[in-house]
Amino acid sequence: MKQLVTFVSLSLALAGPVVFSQETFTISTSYQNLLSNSEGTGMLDLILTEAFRRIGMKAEFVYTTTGKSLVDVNAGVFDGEINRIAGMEAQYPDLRRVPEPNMVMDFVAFSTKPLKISGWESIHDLDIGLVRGWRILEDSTKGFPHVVAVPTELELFNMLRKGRIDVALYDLYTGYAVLNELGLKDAVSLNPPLASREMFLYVHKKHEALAGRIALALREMKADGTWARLVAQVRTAYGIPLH
Amino acid sequence: MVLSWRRSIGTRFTLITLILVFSMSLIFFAVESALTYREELASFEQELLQIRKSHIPALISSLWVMDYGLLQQQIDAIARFPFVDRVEVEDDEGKVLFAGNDDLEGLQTQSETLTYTHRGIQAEIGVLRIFINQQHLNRETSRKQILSLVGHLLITLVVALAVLLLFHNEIAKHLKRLSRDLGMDTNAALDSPIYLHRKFDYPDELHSLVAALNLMRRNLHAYLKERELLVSEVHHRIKNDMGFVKALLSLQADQSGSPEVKVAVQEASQRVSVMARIYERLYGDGNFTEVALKPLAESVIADLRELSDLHPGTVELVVDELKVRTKLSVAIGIILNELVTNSLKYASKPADSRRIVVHIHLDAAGTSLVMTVSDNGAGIPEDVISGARRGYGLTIVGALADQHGGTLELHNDQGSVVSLMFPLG
Repeated sequence: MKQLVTFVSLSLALAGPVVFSQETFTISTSYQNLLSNSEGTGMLDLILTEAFRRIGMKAEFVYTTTGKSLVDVNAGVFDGEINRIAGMEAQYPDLRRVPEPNMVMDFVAFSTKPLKISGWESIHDLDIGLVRGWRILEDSTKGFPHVVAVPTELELFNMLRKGRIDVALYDLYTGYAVLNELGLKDAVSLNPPLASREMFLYVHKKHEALAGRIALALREMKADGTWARLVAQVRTAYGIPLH
Repeated sequence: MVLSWRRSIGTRFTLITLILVFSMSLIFFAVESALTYREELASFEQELLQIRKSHIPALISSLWVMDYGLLQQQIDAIARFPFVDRVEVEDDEGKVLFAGNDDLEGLQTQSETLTYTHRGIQAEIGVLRIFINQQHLNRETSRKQILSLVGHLLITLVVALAVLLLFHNEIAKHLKRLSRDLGMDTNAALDSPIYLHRKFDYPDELHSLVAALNLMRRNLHAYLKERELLVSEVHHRIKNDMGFVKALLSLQADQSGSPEVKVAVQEASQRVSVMARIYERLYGDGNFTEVALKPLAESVIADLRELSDLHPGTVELVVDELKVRTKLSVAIGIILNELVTNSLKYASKPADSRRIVVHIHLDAAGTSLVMTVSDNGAGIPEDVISGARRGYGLTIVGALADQHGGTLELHNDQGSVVSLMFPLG
C-alpha cells in the first residue's frame, strides 16, 4: 500500500506541472468535414484528442480560415495547427513540426466509370477535372490535353456527376465527404492513389518540448491499433473503402 | 412695327419663312428619326453581336464547368447592356440563373442554345434568354429626336424673328416712310426730292427705287406745270371768247327796240358773264379741278351790282369756305345769278329796303351741299311753286339741279325761299 501511495505521488509530481499548467491545447483547424468538424467527430479530432489524452492533456479545436490558421499559430494565438505537409516551418519560423505524421493524404482520381489507372501517365488522355490552386495536381497534370480547372470541389464533382469529365482529382477523404454531401453514389476513388503526402501537426515554438511526446503518443496509437481503428471508423462512416 | 400679315410684307415674309423652315424641319426630323432609329437598331444589333462574340463563349465555358458564381457575374454583365432588360440562363438540369427586371410584360425574347464542343462533339448545356425592351429602343430614339426637334424649332423661331426684324429695319420701315411722304406729295412738293432716312445710304435697291421715284416726280412736276400752262391758256381764251360774246350780246341788247328782247339779251349776257368769271377764276387760281365757292359767290354778286340796281348791303352772303368741282361751281354760279336776278326782278319793295340772303353750306352729314336763296319780296306765285308754270330763269335752275343729281324746292316764308341740295362725292 505504501509502495502504491509512493508511486502515485511520484507520478503526480512528474505529471503535475504539465497537466495543471497546460490543461488544454488549442488546435487551429480550417476543416469542416470528415477530417475535423465542430462536432469533434472528424478523423483528426479523434486521433489528436486521443494522442493528447495519452500525454495528459486536453485538445481543443478552434475553427479558423485557411489563410489565417498558420499565421495565428505562428504568432502564438493558438497552440497548434492541425494538419499540414512537411516544410511549413521554412515559411513560419515559430512553428515546430511534430515528427510523427497524423495521417497520409492520398490524392486520388474519382470517377463514375470503372477505369484502370496506374499513375499520372495513365490518365493523360482522359478528361480531367481539378480544383484551381492545388499545386500538386496542377503540376502533375501540366501539359495534359484535357484538363479543366474549377473554383471549388462542388463544381468538380458536379462535372463528374454530369459526365463532363472522366476523372475528378481530389484528396481521398474530403473527396468522399463532398460525394456524400452531393449524394453522388456512382463515383468512387480509383486505386492506386496518384500521390500521397504525409500530414503533420505543427505546434508553436513555446510548446516545442511537447512535439516529441505527441509523436510518441501517435506512434503508440499506430502500434496498438488505436490509430487504424479511428481511421476505419471514420472511413466506414463516410463510405470510404478501407483499402 | 405692323404685325398684321395683310398689312405687312415683313410679317408675310416671316410667316412664309417660318412655314417653309418649319416644313423643312419636319421633313428633316422625319428623315433623321428614321435614320436614328436605324442607327439605334444597328447599335442594338452590334450589342447583340458583342454579347455573342465576347460574352457567350465565356458563359458557355462557365456553364460547362458549372461555375455558377462566374456565370452569375457574366449574366450580370450582359444585363448591363442598355437595351437588355433581363437575362436568363437555364442549364441542362433546369436550374435558372438570371439578372435584370422581373417584370416580363411587353418584353421581346431572344433565345440562344448554349452549346459546348468537346472533343468534336457538341453538347447542349443550356439556353440563354435575353429579354429586350423594344419600347426602350423607341424611347431612346424619341428622346434624341425630341431634343433635335426642339432645337430645330428654336432655330426656326430665331431665324424667323431675325428675318422679321431685319426686314422691318432694312426695308419695311423705309417703304412705309416713303409711302407716307409720297401720300403727302403736292404739286409744288414734286420738285423737291424725297430721301431715305437711314444711317448709311448704300447704293442698293431701295436707293435705286427712291432715285427712280424722284426722277418720276420731277418729270411729273414738269408735265403738270406744262399742263397747267396749257389749261390756263385755254381758260383764258374761253374767258376772252365769252367776254367777246357778252360784248356782242350787250351791243345786241342796246340796238334792240323791244324792251323785252333787250332784257332777255341782257340776261343772257349776264349768264355768259358769270361763266366768264368762273373761267377767269380758274386760270387765275391755277387750280383747274376745284373752285372756292365764297369768292365765286362774291364775284357773281359784284357783277350783278354793276349791271343792275342792286344796292350794297341788299345781298347777305353766308357761304362756308368750301371748294367744289369746277363743273358744279359753274352750275352754282349760274343758279346764284338766276335766283338773285329773279329776286331783284320780282321785288315788291324799293331798292334800298330789299333783302336777299344767300346760304351755301354742307348738310349735317357732310355729304350734300345745301344752297338757299331767300328774299323779302312778294313771294313765289302758287302756280310756280306747284310747277304748273316756270319762268326761264327757274327752268335753267331746275335743269342745272337735275344735271348734278340735285333737288329744287320752292316755298314762301315772308318772301320767296328757293332751296337746292346737291350730293357731293
